[in-house]
Amino acid sequence: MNDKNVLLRVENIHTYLGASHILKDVSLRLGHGETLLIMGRNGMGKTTLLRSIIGLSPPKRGKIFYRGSEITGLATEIIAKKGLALIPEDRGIFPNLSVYENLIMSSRPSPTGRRDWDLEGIYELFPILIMRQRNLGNQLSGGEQRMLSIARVLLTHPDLILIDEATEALAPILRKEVALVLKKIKDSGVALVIVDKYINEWMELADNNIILSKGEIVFQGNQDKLLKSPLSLQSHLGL
Amino acid sequence: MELSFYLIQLLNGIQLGFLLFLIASGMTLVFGIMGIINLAHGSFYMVGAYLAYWVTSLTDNLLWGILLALPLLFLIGFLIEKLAISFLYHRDHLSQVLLTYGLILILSSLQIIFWGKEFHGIDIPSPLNGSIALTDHQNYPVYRLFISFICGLTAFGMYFVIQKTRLGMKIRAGSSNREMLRILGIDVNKLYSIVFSVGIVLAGFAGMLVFPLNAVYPGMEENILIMSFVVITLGGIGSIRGAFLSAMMIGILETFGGVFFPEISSFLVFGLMALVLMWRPQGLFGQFR
Repeated sequence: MNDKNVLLRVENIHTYLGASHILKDVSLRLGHGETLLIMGRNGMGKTTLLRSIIGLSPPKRGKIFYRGSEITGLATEIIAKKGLALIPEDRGIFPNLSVYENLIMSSRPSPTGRRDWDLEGIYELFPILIMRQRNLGNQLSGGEQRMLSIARVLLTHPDLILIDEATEALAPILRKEVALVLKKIKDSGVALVIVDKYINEWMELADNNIILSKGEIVFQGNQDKLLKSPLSLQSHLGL
Repeated sequence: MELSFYLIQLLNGIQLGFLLFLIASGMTLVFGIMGIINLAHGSFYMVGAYLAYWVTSLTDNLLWGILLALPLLFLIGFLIEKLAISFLYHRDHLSQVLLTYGLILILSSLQIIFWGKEFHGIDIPSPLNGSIALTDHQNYPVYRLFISFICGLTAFGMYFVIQKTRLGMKIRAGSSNREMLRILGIDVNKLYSIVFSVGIVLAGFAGMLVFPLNAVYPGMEENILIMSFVVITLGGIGSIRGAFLSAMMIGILETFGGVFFPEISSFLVFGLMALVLMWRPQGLFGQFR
């Protein structure tokens, strides 16, 4: 990949949580508008990798670059303002704010002034949120919270969205709905890093795949390579 | 007793309630959102009163005294947050109590160094120094009504900012999930500086409004701090609505209790708090954490 096309570059990072060495020498590259699927069993470092990129768990060693500039060690809010967004596993919906307030509280144009999304567009993409706009965050179902969390980051106009456990605890029909929404977001030019257990939903969407095991990348490649590596799927994902 | 007597007590109770609300609202925001127990919050009631007294003495004008003291107090709050409070965000409550208790000692020593141990007062300026006749025999001071009016406006302004603006949404969001605020690109440290400084200004503003009535004197903040803690505990920590309702309840109860049951008036306030906490341990509008 040409360096000019690289949106995110992670170089040999080592991240610790307390005394535990969680990520060991992890490197990856993601181009503009591309989708990367990160897989792995529980506790293998997937969430820590996303948290390292956004600055919540900064790496002790190694470097992270976004749009060619180093973001290692920067405060999370500064990294977010550069156009990175994270949707955490617990969705991070503010329970004491209404759906409408959750949406508009952090809305802003992209660092380059782009304003592709507005409330109207968001309600078109997530019709359920129109009916729920006066409800408080804690009055929503898990699926609605997931939709709201995606809608909220879209209004911050990121170029890259990191999504942790994208379809965790969702019914199969909702999983398909989330996948459909993320496909539309990808088609709009936004790059995605998706962490999920249900890899079938993402086979079409993902341009590249990573399998993490005990904090190390044990597989990296596209769908063809992944499907030709039954050993990786079986030994690291139990599939 | 005449009906007007009860009306006067009610007006006094509402005025005390409004003042308690001004002080407690800042305290509940700082405690609920930043997680900081600021024992020195009541001291800023005293600092505000002394600053306003000082500027009023220099300008010979109460309005200028208050208008100039407000930004001065904001600056003091901002500096204290940056130089002292910001070091407490990742510390336990014991560290917070020790540091803010130290602030109480520093502020009260500075007060004695600059203004001594005497009482200082000013004359309430015209036309606020008059009275309104409630009946043929009962009058009510205009200045007390003025205090209630200004406090009411301030409370409405706070309600508007907290409920209707994006800043207010961020402040409310901060009480439930600070990490998510940062993930969304919101500078939590800046938000904390604003919340702390505004909280200090609100407490000081209460002191500025009251000093023409009661004068300024050492120890004027002692009782108000305890009452403010009762207000935020009763209303629910972090809840502005709860602070308003409980400030009114306590203001009215304290006033009527002081008139009809002076021996047990304090017990009435703490008794009410105990009863409410038995029913709702998180306070009237608080949430379990």
